Parts: sequence; C-alpha cells; structure tokens
Amino acid sequence: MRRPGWHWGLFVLEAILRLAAAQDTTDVALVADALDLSPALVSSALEELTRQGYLRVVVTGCASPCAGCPSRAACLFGSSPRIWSLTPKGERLLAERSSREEGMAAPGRPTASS
Amino acid sequence: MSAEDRGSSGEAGRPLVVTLAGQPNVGKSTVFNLLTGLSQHVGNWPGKTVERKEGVLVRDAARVRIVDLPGTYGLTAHSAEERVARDFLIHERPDAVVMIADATALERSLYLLAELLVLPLPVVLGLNMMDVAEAEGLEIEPHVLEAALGLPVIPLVATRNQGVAELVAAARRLAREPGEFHPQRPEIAEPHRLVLARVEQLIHSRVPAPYVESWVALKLLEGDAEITDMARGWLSEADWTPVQAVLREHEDAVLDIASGRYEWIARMVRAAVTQPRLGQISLTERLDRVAVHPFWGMAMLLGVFAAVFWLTFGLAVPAQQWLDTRVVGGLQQVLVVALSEWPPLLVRLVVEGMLGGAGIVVSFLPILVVFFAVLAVLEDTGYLARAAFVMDRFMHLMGLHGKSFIPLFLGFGCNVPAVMGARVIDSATGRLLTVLLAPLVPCSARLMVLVLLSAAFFGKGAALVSWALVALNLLVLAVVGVVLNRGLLHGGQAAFIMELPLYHVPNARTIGLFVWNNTWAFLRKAGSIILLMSVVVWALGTFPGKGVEESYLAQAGRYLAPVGELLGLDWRMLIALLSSFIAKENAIATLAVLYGAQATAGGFTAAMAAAVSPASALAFLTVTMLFIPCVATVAVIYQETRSWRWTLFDVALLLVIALGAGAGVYHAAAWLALGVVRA
Repeated sequence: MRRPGWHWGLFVLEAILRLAAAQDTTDVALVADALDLSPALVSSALEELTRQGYLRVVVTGCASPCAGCPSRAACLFGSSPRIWSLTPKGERLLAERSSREEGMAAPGRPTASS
Repeated sequence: MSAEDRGSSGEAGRPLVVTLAGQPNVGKSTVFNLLTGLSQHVGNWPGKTVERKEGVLVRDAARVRIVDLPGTYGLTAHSAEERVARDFLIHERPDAVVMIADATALERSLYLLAELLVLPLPVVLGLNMMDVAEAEGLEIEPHVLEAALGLPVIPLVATRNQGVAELVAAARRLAREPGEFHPQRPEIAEPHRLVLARVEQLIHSRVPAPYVESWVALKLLEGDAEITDMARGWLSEADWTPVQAVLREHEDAVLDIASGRYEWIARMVRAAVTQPRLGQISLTERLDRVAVHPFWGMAMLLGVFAAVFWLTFGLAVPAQQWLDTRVVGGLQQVLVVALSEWPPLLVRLVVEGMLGGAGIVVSFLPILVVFFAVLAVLEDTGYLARAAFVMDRFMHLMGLHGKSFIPLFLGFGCNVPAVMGARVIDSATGRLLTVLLAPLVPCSARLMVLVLLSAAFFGKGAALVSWALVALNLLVLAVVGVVLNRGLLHGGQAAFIMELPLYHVPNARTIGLFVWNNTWAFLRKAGSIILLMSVVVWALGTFPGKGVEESYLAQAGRYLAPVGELLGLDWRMLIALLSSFIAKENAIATLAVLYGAQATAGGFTAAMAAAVSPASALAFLTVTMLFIPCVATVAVIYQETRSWRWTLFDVALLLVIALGAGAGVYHAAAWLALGVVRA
C-alpha cells in the first residue's frame, strides 16, 4: 500500500482523507504503514478529522442501544471496532484540492496519482 | 519585577498561579489531589455546569494557587469544557501551565500541547503513567523529548507520588523565569502560512486584550465559531468583509493547521519514543500479516470455520446422541407408561408432539453450547473483525466495493441488524444493494440449524459438510453481489477505514455470559414458539386420524410435490422448510415430529439417516442456508426499503437462488451415488 513518491510532508490529514476515499476498505494499521506513522497517531488523526466533520464514525446501523436490543443475545459484536467513512464535506474538500492541483503543481503536496 | 521577587508570587502581591491541563484520563486529578490535599475546593465555573477545582500548595513557605482545568482534547470551542479551559488561560494568564500527558498514549496527548504552545504561556510537560509505559515495553527518553520540545519534561508516576515534587519545582522555576521558555512550536503548512499572515494583518490592532492577535488569527482560520463571532464584533463591517472573504476562500485551512500539529507530534515522538517490538502490538501485526492478507486471510477464514465445526461436532455430538436416545427417548417411554390412564390421543400429543418435537431440539443443547463458546472465543480474541474485513476484500476482488462491509460485520450474528446496517450508506443504490444482500450472510441462527441437522444427517461427516455449505454461502453472496451491483443497480462505491482491535486473550466471563445468554434464549424459544409449532405440526400430521401419510399436512405437502421432486425432498422435508420461516429451529422440531413414527433405537439422528438420503439432506441444508432466514428479516427489509416491490423481489430472488442451488446440489450428489438412503 505504500506509494512511492507520496510526499505527505505536512499534509497528514489530507493523506488520510485520500486513503479513506480510495475504493478499498482499509484499517488503521495499513494506513499507518502507508504513511509511516504509528497506529496511535493515525487513530488520533481520525478522531480529529471526525471532530472537524470530514469523517464520520459509522454507527453499525443499530437503531437502539445494546441494552434494549432484542437481537442482543445473538449479536456477536457487542464490542465492535470503530469504523469511519468520508462525509460529503470530506468529499468536497478532496474534489476542490484535486482540481486545484490540476491547476498548479504544488511541491510536497500529495496528489491523487502519487 | 525581578525573578527573585517572583519567587513566591506572580505579579506583585498575588501568589503564583499554576494551572493543570490535560486530556481526560491522564491522571491530572491524582496530581491535583497530591498538590492540594485538603485545601482544595470544588465548585462550578461561572455560568457553566462544568466543575471547577482549585487549591493551594504551600512549598518553601510560598503559596501557589493550583487551578485544575477540565480535561480537554484541544482548545477549539467544540465543548463547554474546551471553552472554559481556554477562557481561563487567556483571561487569567496563569504564571505557568502544567500539562499532564499519558506516557502510554503520547501521540494523542501531545495534540493539546500543540494548541497550548500557541498561547504566550510557559508550559511544563508532566509525563504520567511512566510505570505503565515501561510495563508495555515503551522506551521514552524524557531528556530527548525535552530537547526536542524546548520545554521542561518531567517523568511521573502520580499514583506513587513520584516526580510530582520535580514537576512543581520546574513549574515554579519557569514561572519565575518566563524568558527562559523557548519551545519548538508546530508549524502551519507553507501556503496557509501566508494566509495566516494576511489575516493577522487584517485584524491588526483591532483585537482587544487579553486576546493575542496571532492566536485569534489562527482560530479564525480554523473556523472557530466563538472567536469568529467575537472578531465580527471587534471589527467594523468594512474591516470584517476582507477577513470574511479570506476565511471563505480558505475554509480548508483547518486541515493544514491540524496536519502541521500531527507532523510535529510525529517528529517529537519519533525522536524520544521507542515502540516495543515484543508484546501485544507486534503480535497483532504478525498475526494480521496472514489474517488480513487478501489470499491467506481468506484461506485462514475457511480454515477457522472448519475448525469451528470440527470442534463442535467432535466434542458435542456424543453428548447429543446420549441425550436424544437415553434422556428424550427414555422419557418418552416412561411417559407412555405413566400416562397410560390418559386418552391415547393426549398421550401421543405429549410424547410425539411436545416431547418428540421440542424435546429433540433441546437434546441438541450440547452442540449449541460448544458452538456458541467457540464463536464467542473468536469474537473476544478479536478475530471475527478480521473475518469480516477479509470477506470485504474478497468482495472487492469480485468487483463489489465497500458496501458489503457493515452487513457482513453484523450478519454473522443476526441478519436483522445487518439489513439495518444499510442506513450508514449515503447512496440510495448502495443502501438497496446492501439490504438485498444482507440475508445471504450466514447468520448464527442458520449456522446453528446447519450444525444441528448436519449432525443428524451426516454423523462423522458433519464437520466437512457444514464447512462446505458455509463456503458455498459466501461464494453465492459474492456472486450475487457482483451481478446485482453491475447488472441491476449500477451502484457506486464506498469505502471505510476501520480500527481492528488488538488480539487479546479471551475473557472467560465474557464467553460464559455469551454462551449463557444464547443458550437461555434458545431454551426460551424451545419452550414457546418451537413447542407451539411442534404441537401444530403434530396435530396437522395426525388428523384426520388415518395415519401421517393421509394427514392434513401430508395433503398440503403433496401440493408442493413438483418442487419436492426437483430438490429430492419428500413432503415432510418441504413442510419443515416452510415451518423454518417462522424460526429456523422449527425445521428440527418439524422433522422430529413428522419422522417420529419411524423412530429407532438410535433416536432422531438414526431415524433421519434411515429415512433421508445424503443427497436429499444436502439439498435440504442448501436451501436452509440460502433462503431468507426468518420473517423478522422480511419485515425489516420492508421497513428499510419502504417498498413491497423490492421486498418481494428479494424474497423471490433468494427463493430462486435457494431452490436452484438446492436442485443443483441434489442432482450432483445423486449423480455421485449419494441418492440412496443408507439404512
């Protein structure tokens, strides 16, 4: 998954958003490996991106809390891991940055084709 | 005021004010309690419901006022706690800030430090939980971090009161000599550095004290709502308009500001922290090299399923057979004698209907207990999350991207939340595709019926048969998903980032509770729906009283004879399939009641083996695994789609798939000479 020539430099969060937008479900460890970061830092960055509205934590679709769920006895995932997906705000940002990159070459900025 | 004069006071006449800051759960309260003891008092911040704690530390005859700020992750106004914290720092200007960080989660903790360093306040960093960090194999060099950060870094174990005196000394020293504070601050990326300078220029000399222009400009670029409202009030309309234009053009600046902080954090941690190469984290990395590999992960998943079934059948089948023949069969014989005074029909209802149906289901309890225990172990160790992740990657190989993940994740437990899991997908076609596919995920109810009936039909071959049918289920799921996605819905794509849990030793209590909850739920169902269904099936299979072959149920079942011929199933098995639509376990009870007349000394399993060929059994199980699991799933499909058209389409689609696959399996098995009853 590591891409040669991907100079994320100061653009950690944008790099993470691009990975979230890629057509492939991935996990924090793989993102960390691709960006040469620790998984803990990536998790922290994902929380920050969520606070800023570029990502959202995907609720696993359950409408009611576990305590009141009739399927609770059969549910195998009481402690399901966190899952994030790109929000429309995140998609707009990446689209804007991609079109801006096509207009100019910015040294050190990750591109979609990197 | 000279440094000496500030030895025991801040500005002339007042004690030094030292603030404790930090994220939640870093041990800040422990440090505060150690410093202030009984002198602390607790109240609320003015106009807020946020708790305020203050106290006094007396050290070397000097009084130091200690203010404990609420735990916050940053200083942007996302919450009341963050607003309270930064308002105090800006308006009260403490003489020093002591930031407590969790040494085991330094990357997360340092984000607050990055925000604190923007304010013109001296900061000391206390690295707490150093003992825990050491136990986890983390090697942190405080002096290296101190050199990199350019500020005092003090290692702490607050629970043992270690390092706290040094922390106070460093804070007092820094408060006395604030000119000695030269931290390495995070940088903002180059393009927005110029924009920041532009905003500072536009608000120059219009920011009232105690606010600092550079900090206000940064917060405006970050889109801080509270600061934006305040700045709008400080500037005239004419002065605000160009500021607003810059901010609108650079709405994404916050991303680069935060990125600069993360890059700074990564540099600091890389310099001073050595991650463990042994232990839980690297074990997870090593195992995941196989477990989430696109090919080996799938092989491992199939291997794990095989092991699940092998363990279940190997350990529990002997116990089940004993319960079936000795307990249920024995009880039937006892009741026949004990109830000899009762009307014969009533005796048959109790012995053949209730005990023959629901009782047989209960005899499968050992198999259920082992099955649930093994599943619980897989979930508690963290493996099931990998299973869903691998399935998703497999779906990608088939051309189906991302959408499958949530229902797969949930569907292994129950298809009802799996269908509801479609809500997380933004696109309408994506949601619909997910809803249509979710019932193909082998839920725990179907897996349980598979386990029970495989044991009844195939004995020692049950594990292999079960494994093969689950693999078939997953393959059908992938193929149907590709066909629907490409051919019918032309769906778009979605992707996720997930945080796989670390592998860990399963907790016996968690597993015990899971097994108990599921077993008890099964017993309750056996005592209600299954018992009722058993009685109904017995009654319809007995009356009008000329034998089971002439019963109402047989007459109804024979209408389905053409379907039965296709699948190699007689009317009894067809009725069992229909009854499973209400609850999957009903299939077992129905078979037990309808085949009960042929009961042998070997119990239910022997009776099934004597009456049903392997080919027919395979067909029956194939249809069970591929058809809609239950009426609750149909109800929730309608609820999510709000369309009878799509609901009935899905039911029809799965019926066609189930019958087609069942027929194919039957004829292939019969061709392989498995179409003869082995009696």
